[in-house]
Amino acid sequence: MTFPPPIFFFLLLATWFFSASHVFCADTVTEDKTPTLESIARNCMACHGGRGISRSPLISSLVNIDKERFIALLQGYRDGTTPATVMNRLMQGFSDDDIRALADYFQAIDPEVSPHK
Amino acid sequence: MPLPIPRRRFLKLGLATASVTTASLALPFLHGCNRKSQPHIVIVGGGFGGASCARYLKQLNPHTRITLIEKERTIATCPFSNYVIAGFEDIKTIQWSLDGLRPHGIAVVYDRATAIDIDNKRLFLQGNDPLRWDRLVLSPGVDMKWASIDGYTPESAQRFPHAWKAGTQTVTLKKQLHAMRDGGTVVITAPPMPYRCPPAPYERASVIAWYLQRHKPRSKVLILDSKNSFTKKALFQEGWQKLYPNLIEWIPAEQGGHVTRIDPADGTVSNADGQRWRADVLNIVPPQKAGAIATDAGLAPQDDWCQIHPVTFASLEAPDIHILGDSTVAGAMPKSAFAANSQGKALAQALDSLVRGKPAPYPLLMNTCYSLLAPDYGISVAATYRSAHRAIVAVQGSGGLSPLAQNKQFRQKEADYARAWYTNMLDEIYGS
Repeated sequence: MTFPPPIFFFLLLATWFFSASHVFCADTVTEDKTPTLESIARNCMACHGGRGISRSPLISSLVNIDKERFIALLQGYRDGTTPATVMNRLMQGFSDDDIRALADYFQAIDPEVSPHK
Repeated sequence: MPLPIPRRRFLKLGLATASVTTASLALPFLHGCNRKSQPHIVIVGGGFGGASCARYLKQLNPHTRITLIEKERTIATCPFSNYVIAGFEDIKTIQWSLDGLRPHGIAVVYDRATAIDIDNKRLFLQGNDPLRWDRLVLSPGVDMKWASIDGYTPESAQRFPHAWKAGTQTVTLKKQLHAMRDGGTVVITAPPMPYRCPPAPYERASVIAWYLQRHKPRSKVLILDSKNSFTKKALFQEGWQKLYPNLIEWIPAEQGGHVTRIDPADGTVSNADGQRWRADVLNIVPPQKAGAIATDAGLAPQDDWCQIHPVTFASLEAPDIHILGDSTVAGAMPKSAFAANSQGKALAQALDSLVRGKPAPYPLLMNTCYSLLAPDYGISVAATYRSAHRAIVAVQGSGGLSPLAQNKQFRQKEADYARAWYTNMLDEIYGS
């Protein structure tokens, strides 16, 4: 028998591989590259207020809008049938499914809860 | 999908294999994945990026332990600071405080971060004990490249303010403008890309012209530019023609506009050919780089800016340090307040997963930059972005500029939306 046995080197390597934290614990990203609905909605809040509750009368809140009206408005901005200054530009690239999902997201927000919770 | 192993760690991995192997044998698996139940996230910088990240981390998980380090007790925002200079907004309207974040369980420390110990995960502070972090978030904004214009130093900047970090210098420039004689020349030097808020030098020229037209109508604004073009150029020039004919002159680099020297004795600036301009009010906007806390830690080794992963915002130099906002190379995204806010939210989403050992989900990112040419005349540029394999890229077909040749009502509406955006975003970030 040779010493050390070949299995020793194998175990050495395996132990190192499983215990080296920067290999074992490396940050990963999801396989699915589709942006999350939440991340889309949070960008809306940059202008429309935290949780979609606007503090300015000049920009509408996104909560308390009838769902069908919400969908029709955003589709209208995207398709150029509803006049707008900036929403027409920002809605390019959003699908009908995206718009419906956003409508559901903002419908689910309780407008009585603080915009900062 | 594993991220590319950052260069710094990769090198260490190669050099340190022998010692790591020995240690692993002695303490098998003890190095294993150390996912603490309450990891400490330390955020440096309470501006649009850092404060947004803190708030959304807390919203996603109220138990997250967050310490936010900010050197200013009163934060003045760069957005709307040009209107303070022109005199149609008060400095108080752009001043904010992080105190409103404390009731939400975010520990706010007013202090200056001085250095980072990457290997031992410590952050050194000027007036407090070092902080231990599990994840460090840097949102330090920009610093000036003082050496790039001969004669422009932190000392001469007291007399010839850049006003590119809002606050004291904003007020200094306002006072100088308001004390200037009628018939004087305001000189603004515009830096090469990339820099904080690309349309801001041209917005500043516009609203200064608005002030001069009303109070010192024989005066003029001269923009000496290190570039040959700029963002929203056609829209700005259309507005200048309409609002301030012959009041604003723009000299691009190809016509000698690239300033290389300032003479602090008499406030003249000159280019490499020796062409000189005398200014009654001189506003130097110098070339910029990532905040010193990041560059000093070696997190921008290639040029002046920090390279990051497009989903996790992890530094390519140190995997547990995440960087966002103006200090980063964020692909197609500009260095703007809106972009930093969007990145802060995206990083909060990523970190919330990563600290639990889960893969970070992909974000949508967005930017909208309004510029006012007058209190009732607004223009904008907007875009959406997504994270691709190696960089943040613009979503095809999305966004774009305000259209040319619009009526007064359209420009008024964009000015109104600029104000409403400011109200809502600042409440989203600093409101309690």
